[in-house]
Amino acid sequence: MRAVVVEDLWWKYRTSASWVLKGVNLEIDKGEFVGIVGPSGAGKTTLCLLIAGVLSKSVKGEYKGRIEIFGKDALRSSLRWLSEDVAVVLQDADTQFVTMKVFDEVAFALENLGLSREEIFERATEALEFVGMKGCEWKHPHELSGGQKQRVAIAAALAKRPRLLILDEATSELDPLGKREVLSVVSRLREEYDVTAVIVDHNTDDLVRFVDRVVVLSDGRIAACGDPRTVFSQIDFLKSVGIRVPQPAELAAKLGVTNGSLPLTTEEVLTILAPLRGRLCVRDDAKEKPRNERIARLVDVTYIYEDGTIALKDLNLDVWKGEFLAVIGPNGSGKTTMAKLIVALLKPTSGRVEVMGIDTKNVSPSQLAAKVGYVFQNSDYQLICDTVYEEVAFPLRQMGLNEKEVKERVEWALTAVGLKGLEEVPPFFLSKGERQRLALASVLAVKPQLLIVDEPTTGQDERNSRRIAELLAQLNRAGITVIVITHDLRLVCEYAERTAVLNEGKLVAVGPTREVFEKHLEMLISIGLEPPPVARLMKELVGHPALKVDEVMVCGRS
Amino acid sequence: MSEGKVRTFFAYVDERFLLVRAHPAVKIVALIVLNVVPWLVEAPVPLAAFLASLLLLATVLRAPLGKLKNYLVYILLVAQAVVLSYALGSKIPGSVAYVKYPWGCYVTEMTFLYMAMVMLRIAGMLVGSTLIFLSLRDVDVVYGLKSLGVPFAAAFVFNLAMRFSALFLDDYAKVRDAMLLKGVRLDVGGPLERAKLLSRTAVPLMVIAVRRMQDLSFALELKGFPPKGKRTYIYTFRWKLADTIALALLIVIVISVVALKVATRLLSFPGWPLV
Repeated sequence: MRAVVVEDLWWKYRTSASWVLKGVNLEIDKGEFVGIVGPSGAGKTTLCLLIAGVLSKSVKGEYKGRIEIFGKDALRSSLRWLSEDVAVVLQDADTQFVTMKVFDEVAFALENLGLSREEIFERATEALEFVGMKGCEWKHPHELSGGQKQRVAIAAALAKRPRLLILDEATSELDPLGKREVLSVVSRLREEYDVTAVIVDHNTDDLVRFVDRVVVLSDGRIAACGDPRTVFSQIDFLKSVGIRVPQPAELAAKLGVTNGSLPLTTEEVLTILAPLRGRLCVRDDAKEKPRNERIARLVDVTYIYEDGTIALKDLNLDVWKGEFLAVIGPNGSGKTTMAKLIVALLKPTSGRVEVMGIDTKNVSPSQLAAKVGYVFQNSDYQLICDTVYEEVAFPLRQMGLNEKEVKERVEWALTAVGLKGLEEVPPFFLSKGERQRLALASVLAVKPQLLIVDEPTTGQDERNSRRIAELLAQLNRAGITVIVITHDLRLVCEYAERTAVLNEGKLVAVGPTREVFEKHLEMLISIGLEPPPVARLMKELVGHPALKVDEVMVCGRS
Repeated sequence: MSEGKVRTFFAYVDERFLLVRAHPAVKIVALIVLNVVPWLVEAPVPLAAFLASLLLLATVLRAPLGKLKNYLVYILLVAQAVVLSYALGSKIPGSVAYVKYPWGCYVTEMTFLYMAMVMLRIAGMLVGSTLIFLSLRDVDVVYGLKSLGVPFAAAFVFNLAMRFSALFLDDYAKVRDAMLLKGVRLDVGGPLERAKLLSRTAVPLMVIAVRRMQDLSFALELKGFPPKGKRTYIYTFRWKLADTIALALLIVIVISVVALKVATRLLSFPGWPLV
């Protein structure tokens, strides 16, 4: 039986110039798990919300074509009728939490459906137990981690006992531990629930574990559709449309050991590579650059928030001039607090933070702004002007530069981030990736000596992630010291010269990136981080990790 | 959560705080009455008596009014604004004019009395509202308003606004930090200059709020809100004798204040016993 039938579907928002979906055809069988991948702006969320029946009723737009959900017309049926069959978990864990308690959140949709109180209690309790949130019924949203909030959102969806569950980038803004929590629930869903699922995710390493079929959406069209092995074997094509290829598949393809069936998971590629165990080697071309000039220094730094939370405890860290330093650690480990201390947004409770020889206790963030740049995880907080040009010019005018120099610097910064030509566009008309680069441009124009970038790739597609990472590397080569705070260990492995690991407010490891992954791989996994598959594979096969696929070779054959 | 504690809008409070156990409708009515009464009364002495009664009530009900100290800075700012505005810009007639300004305003002994009245009025509203908010759980707002005849959808949206105001404040703090990092000095320059710079925070705040509202509307629709047919309510609240007494008392207070205000000058400025 077909769960979903999408026939020649076209959709255009009232405000968009062209069609967002262009003749999409898709059929999903009952019980099937389908993954949808594609770059930002490909139309993934639009397709999900149309299938759920929300978009055509609450957003002004034009559509053609047909969607059937278990035989019901999704574009024209009432939402109440559809909502009994379809449940959606959205990306933003905070926004979809509409009540103040976990139990109320799970019960809310059931109350709206008019079920009896007994049935509501039974279903909500069962769903919370399924997602491992039993015992948290009376907790408030702010007492939950991102992963827990998404598990509650899944529980709220499951409590409706839907026949179709849509997860629209439900893990894209979570840290690795949160992702792991949510994905383990999805994995159990397959085994224990009679449900059809549509899962949208940028992280293909995880997605391939759960789906029967992958749909590649690009520019509003289905560019590829099939079982994961077939779809991910088109490595060059996927990279060209901006999709991250699972690293095991990339590695197997590079070594030419697919044996007619492309391995998609670490376990599969491990089996295939086992016969090569003695012949594999990891190339290390990186040359350690001597660094001896400090740009920032944290000495015995402790920071305690007003509510008593100890964010950092006795932290000692030197940041060397010209280096590319990655700061990694699970949520709540103190990474962002450390960055805020360096830019003087926070002052240490005890200890000392020095930036270019200045004790941050004696300066305000605005006084340090000309020396240290900080790009937020969500760049939208940083965009305060009416046009792209004004946005980049604003901090320069605050510095009192003359208009000639402002113009020169704006042009230089916009060229560096690839936004030249968009000077008159309002910032919020730009795409998410472009807004991130604009925030970076407005920091770069100041020509800081130290640049701190907080989670630059979270929620970004592969193309944008890669573009931002390359840009940071380029700036670093130009002499700017870069500190990247991230959960994306692929980015760390490919770009960071040195890595500092924080856990529970303490520095648990620091050193050259290869050394940190070599000596502390198990520890990184144990504190909830997710080293790239190739690092784990090579550690298993040759005794020390590779940082990227290109480093792995069959000895004697390059 | 600690044993014997209840989470309310302001904080975790002790279960023994009696107002927590009141019916949600009583809490909502009390919130309205405790904010309306100080506005009806202009006389400083009755206002002081009202404030003293509230503090006494808070003690009897074991209200953790100590939480108010978190807002001490804001209270002092408001007090400062009141003093400045009346000291520099009022024309309240009295028997002695201490200062006369070139712009026509002056300070008399009645100006001080008026200042005291405004401060007592604000203090009364603040203590009254704190008392209620310390006892108000999220479900109380929805169920309280619904009990008073407000449609569920409207009551829920009101509650949602309170939930999202916390996120809005968080957004504001982040935008302000971002401005500081752009080299904006909010600690220098005149008030107008600073206000102009701060007004820039409106751009990202509006955009973020609109995006959030759109996501929220999707989330609500997907959860079947607003309900089209019969809705179930999982919580039930029993109306107790104490609720009837409290409600009757609140009604008596409002009627008495209105009657005294209309029929006598006891509650008008300067009021009893200074009439």
